[in-house]
Parts: sequence; C-alpha cells; structure tokens
Amino acid sequence: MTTNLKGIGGTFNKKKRTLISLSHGTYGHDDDAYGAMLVINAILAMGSEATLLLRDDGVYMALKGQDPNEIGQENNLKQLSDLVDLGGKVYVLGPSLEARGIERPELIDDITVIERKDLVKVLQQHELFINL
Amino acid sequence: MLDGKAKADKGKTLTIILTRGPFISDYADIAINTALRAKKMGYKVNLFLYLDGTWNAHVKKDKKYSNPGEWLRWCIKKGVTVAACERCSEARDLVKEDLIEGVEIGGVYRLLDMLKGSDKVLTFMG
Repeated sequence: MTTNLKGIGGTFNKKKRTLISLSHGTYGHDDDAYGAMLVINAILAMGSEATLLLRDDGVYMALKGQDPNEIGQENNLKQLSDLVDLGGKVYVLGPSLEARGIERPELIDDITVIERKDLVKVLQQHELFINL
Repeated sequence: MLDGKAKADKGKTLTIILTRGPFISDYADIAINTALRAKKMGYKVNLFLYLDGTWNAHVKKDKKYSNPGEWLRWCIKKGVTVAACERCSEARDLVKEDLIEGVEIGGVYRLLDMLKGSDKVLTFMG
C-alpha cells in the first residue's frame, strides 16, 4: 500500500454498487486496465461498494510476480493492493483462466475465481456496470 | 413518438463513457449518436470522454464528411453534459484550448459525480 486514497473526495452514492468488468490485457497499447483501476479505487475511496471482474484477457491483471519495470510502467499489483485495502472485491472468471492455461496458484491471493453460472448472481449484486 | 418504456424513462439520467478515439472504429459514432438520441427522448445525458476517447473533443474543424467533432458540438448545443478526463487529456497533451468549446475537463471525480446521479451507464470500448 503506497497511496492513501481514503482521504480523497467526498461521498459517493453508497446505495449503488458498481461492477467494473475488465476484458483487456495489461501493459499494452490500450490503457483500459489502468483506467479501470483509477475509477474503481476512486469509487472505493469515496466509501461506496465496488467490485472488479476480470474476464477474457483482463485475467492477466491478477498474475503474481508481474514486473513491468523494464517497460517503464506502473505495476498493476500495487493498484490491486490498494483496491483490496479499500475494501473492494476481485472476481476472476474461471473459463477465461482455463482458455489461457492459467492455474489458480499463479494468481494473487486476494481474488475469488467464479464460474459462468455465478455471473448472474454477481450482476444482481450491482446497480452500475462499467466495461473496460 | 415515444413508446411506453421510453415515456417511463423520460427524465432519467444516462451516463455514457467513451474510451475510444475518432475514426478508428465506430465506437465514437455510436456513443455520441446514442447520447444525442437519448437526449431527444428526454433523458438527462452525460458523456464522459475517457482514455483515448478524449481525442474526439479535438476534432474541431468543419469537414466534408460527418465526424465525431460535429456530433459532439450538436450534443453540447442540445444540452448534453460533455466532459473529458483530466489525467487522460494531460497524458495526451490536450489542453482546454485544443478542445471543442463547451467540453469540460474534469478529473475522475467528475466521472463519479456523473455516475452517482445516473440511472443507467453505457460504456463504449473496443
């Protein structure tokens, strides 16, 4: 935890729970992953509930041992750590892991792997949806 | 003519997040025209230009073909609130003078302001 986001901003709408679904990979030309983390950590910092759902190439966000120093980019794990510290949840879609040959032990601890059948329940638990 | 569902939605707030730039795909076209149509149907509409979506506000000059800049100007004229992410603009060296008149530059908390008052959120991304 290297940033203190809890003191920023006012109050967000606590009744609305936000699900941010990230389907794009990390450290590429698109900055969707970075953009997703920026928004979700801001929502959490304002005291509202928010969940990150990693699916498709978005699952790479949760890999252990990432080291983007050589390409000069910020490590996603730092932002994920902030998210967890702020009380956010991270779900990773199991079939997306299987399709990419990624096993659960390769991922960070603070995530929950869900199956497609669980998606409906996750969607029902949120009122606002942002796809990145 | 509004149907029953559209009448029920009149007065509700729609926030559209656009993360893709102009011309490279149809996302900008669809997002901005959805904003215009929703406004016409009676929604209060916010359009937040995020990530490469900020480039759409840079299309300022008239062109011989229809383009996202022209539609953005229509959006502003019709009362759609249009904001561009401050951090994304800064990263692309976009300053207020570069953007279409009426486009705000706001931080991520400007987006949260929009979200907290929204009944629906649509994201247009590739």
